[in-house]
Amino acid sequence: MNAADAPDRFSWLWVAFFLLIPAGFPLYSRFVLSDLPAMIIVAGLLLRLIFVSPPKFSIIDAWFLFFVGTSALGREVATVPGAYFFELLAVVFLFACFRAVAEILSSENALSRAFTLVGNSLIFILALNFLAVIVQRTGISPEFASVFFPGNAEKLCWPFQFSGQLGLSLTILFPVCIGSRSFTLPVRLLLYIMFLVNTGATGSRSVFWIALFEIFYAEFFMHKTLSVQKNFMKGLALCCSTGLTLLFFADDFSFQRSMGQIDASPLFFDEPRWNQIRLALRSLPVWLQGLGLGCCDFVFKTEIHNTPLSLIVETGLFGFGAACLFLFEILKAFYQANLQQHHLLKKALAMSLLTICFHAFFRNLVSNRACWLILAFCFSCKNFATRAESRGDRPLEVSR
Amino acid sequence: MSQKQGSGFFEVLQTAKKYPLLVLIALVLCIFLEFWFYNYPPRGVVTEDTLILGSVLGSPLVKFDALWTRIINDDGLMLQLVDESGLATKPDPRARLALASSVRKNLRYTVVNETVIKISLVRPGYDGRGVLNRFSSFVLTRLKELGDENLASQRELVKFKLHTVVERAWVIAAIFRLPGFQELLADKNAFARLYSQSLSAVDNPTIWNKLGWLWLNDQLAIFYAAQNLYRQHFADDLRLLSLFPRSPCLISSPDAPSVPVQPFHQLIFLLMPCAVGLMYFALLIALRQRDAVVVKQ
Repeated sequence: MNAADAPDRFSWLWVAFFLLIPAGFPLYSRFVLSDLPAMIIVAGLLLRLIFVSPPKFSIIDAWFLFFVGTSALGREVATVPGAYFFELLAVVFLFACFRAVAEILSSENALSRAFTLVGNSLIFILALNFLAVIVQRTGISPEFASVFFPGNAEKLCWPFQFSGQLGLSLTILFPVCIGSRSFTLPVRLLLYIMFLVNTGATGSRSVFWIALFEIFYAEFFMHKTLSVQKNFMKGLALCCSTGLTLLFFADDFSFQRSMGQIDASPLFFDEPRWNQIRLALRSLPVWLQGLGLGCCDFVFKTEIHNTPLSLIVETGLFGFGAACLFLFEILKAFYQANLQQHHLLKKALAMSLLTICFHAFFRNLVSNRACWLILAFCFSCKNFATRAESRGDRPLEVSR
Repeated sequence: MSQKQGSGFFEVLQTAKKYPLLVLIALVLCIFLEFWFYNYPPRGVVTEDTLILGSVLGSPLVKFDALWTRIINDDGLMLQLVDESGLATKPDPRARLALASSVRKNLRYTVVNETVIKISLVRPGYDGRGVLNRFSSFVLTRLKELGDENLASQRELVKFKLHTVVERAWVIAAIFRLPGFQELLADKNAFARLYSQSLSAVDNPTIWNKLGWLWLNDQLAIFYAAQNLYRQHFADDLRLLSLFPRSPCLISSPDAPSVPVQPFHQLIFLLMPCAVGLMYFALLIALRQRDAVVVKQ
């Protein structure tokens, strides 16, 4: 699809998809609400590929197909075929969504509109969760707070099943939210406070630290000013608001855990994580073949919370290589793109990619929807003019 | 067509003509992997034997875990096993020891119930039957030796117990002057008969006789228990012996085939060509993209 063919507005299905992506709303098993419009979109895409225009395979499809191929060679696939096919179906479905998103975002304006929809949805979640945390702290309405802290849990998880999923979604999509438009400084400060409160209440240390980093990145790189005085004042305001937020929630369990003050030392030095890494390293003899996509849970009775390691263990070195090449193609498309009209978008996507890279070492992101959405946003940049094309060079043409 | 748009399915297939070696490699790889996984299924092949331990009506005569620990850690025996079964192809002692160690690691037993044990051996290929047959036969021999020894000593003990009970009755009958008993006690083993006839045997019992009878009555319960124990150890006409034989035996067939560990191992034969086909197609797409760039340059 060319930029000229880009729709002025998204259809209601796409609007629903972009609005629901930041929200989890678990339906059944691992299905979430945003999967419903996504399924219709994918079905439409398939029908179009079958009856209207046959599929065109690009290099990104090549590496994905290679990845799927290697995943089928896993040693444990025939032991737990159910787990394998379920995970494979999930990954193929997410890839189909990825392709559909990358195709629909055929212009910078379309990308900007998608940013706005996702950003608005995230602001709504941030605001509602912020309110819930305040209500829980003050004890005004325990019934209202219990919706957001289900099962008397001390961790905020609405609208997801687990607090970790909420933390991931918030930190990966927050740059999209902050880059969706030029907010004024007071609005940004309010957003930062809400964001900090949300991430702190999830009780995840990695999420909280990355949230702090994102806030400073957003303020000093995305919304940078040249004036030293203004920068100083901004820094002061940020530090004060962060400090006040932390002080307000100082005695809260989740916040203390987020700061890494309770029991265990923060981040990497976490015994369960070390155990997972030890288990993964013990499977070194099968790294060439891999265990099979989604088979780690069966073999180790636990998930490996480290995406690269999980990929190596599950799909072997060849699968990991294919995944790396897949990501490389996306990064190449993103790097070469020249977003002339919306400079904030590229910075926001860069921040989201950094966040994904960071989280990849502490979580398994293979089937994370927010992660795939950001990758799709980045890959959609291939539809825009590259930097070379912007300079006036002719695009490469493939001879038949 | 721009590079960004990609290539159609048939365009990609046309690229295959340019790279005949690749299709050959893919075919060879596919066939090789199919044969490889046919001979060496993922997670290996399991061979199983089921043993019944020798027991006295359900009480095993040998502690199997102790025997297992003794046997499994015996390097000499393991070496003998791999040699006799033809697993060891190299004369190198280190290689033979490594093989023995691998066999030892993959030999396991599962307790089905107190007398039924399953012994399994997991091997990469279908060569485990010979080793397991030899191993099971050795275990059976040891079980029989130890079991027989234990049974003999238990039988002695049971005999002694019964004898003691009967003698005690004889003494009681003598003390309390039970005349009927005196006659019958010529045969010490006829204690039960003696008891049933006791009342008729004593026509006009005195208080002294009655006291003796009361005491003997007490002894009767002990006698029956001892006699029951005796039958459990000696009788060969008990139907329960089919469930709990006194000698250990192998109830699985020594010719039972080895089966792959994975329950859905056939799936691999379907997935293998799909995987190789997908990887081949992926490489074709990549090569087509590369060719397109090279041609333009």
